[in-house]
Amino acid sequence: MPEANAKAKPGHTPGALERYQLPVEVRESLEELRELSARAEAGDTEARKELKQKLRESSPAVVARASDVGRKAQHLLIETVFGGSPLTELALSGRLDMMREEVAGENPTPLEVLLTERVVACWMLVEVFDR
Amino acid sequence: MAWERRKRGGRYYTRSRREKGHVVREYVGTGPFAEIVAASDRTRREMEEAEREQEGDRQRREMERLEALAAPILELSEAAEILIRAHLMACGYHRHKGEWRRARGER
Repeated sequence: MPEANAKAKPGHTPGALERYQLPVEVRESLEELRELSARAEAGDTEARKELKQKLRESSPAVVARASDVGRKAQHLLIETVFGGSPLTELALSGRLDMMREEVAGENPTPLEVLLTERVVACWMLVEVFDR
Repeated sequence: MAWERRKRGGRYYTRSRREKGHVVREYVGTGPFAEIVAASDRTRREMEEAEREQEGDRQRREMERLEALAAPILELSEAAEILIRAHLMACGYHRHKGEWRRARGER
């Protein structure tokens, strides 16, 4: 994914692109969680215990960073597609916020916040592709 | 588009086109007039080919732009997928025919 980004966004410095990507340590944590989940799913009870431990340790940070990247990516989309029309940008940002509230409900858990970001981001992406 | 050689030695310029599923050959002519028509057809074909190539390039560039826009959101989506699966597994759920179910006795 970083390569795709770097190739397709001429005029942006790599430093600027990194704002829209998950940091290396977060990717490593995710990879670890993915492997442990696969082992647990295959019936490895030790893996399940380890998974619980790893989730306690890394989940809040991973969720926070992933949600953050999601929000930044949405802003990038809005700027790129509707840039030049401040009114549309504002209206869309407002609509996304309303959608967030509606999807997440009251007192969402961090994981629910992340899922909400996913729903909103995917909706936004479909809107862009439909244009 | 082709030149046909005749038995008497002359060359005849022809055009082929598809009409109602059949190939129809149109006999254009011979001599300087046919040479001009042939050159004109060749130029038109080259221009159409160049336009198709340009359109292909434009579509490739647009696809790259869309992929770049989608990349961070796909990354977010993948992260959410991994986390949800990890949380469900850790909470004692398992997948049965694509559906997440809680194992008996798990809390």
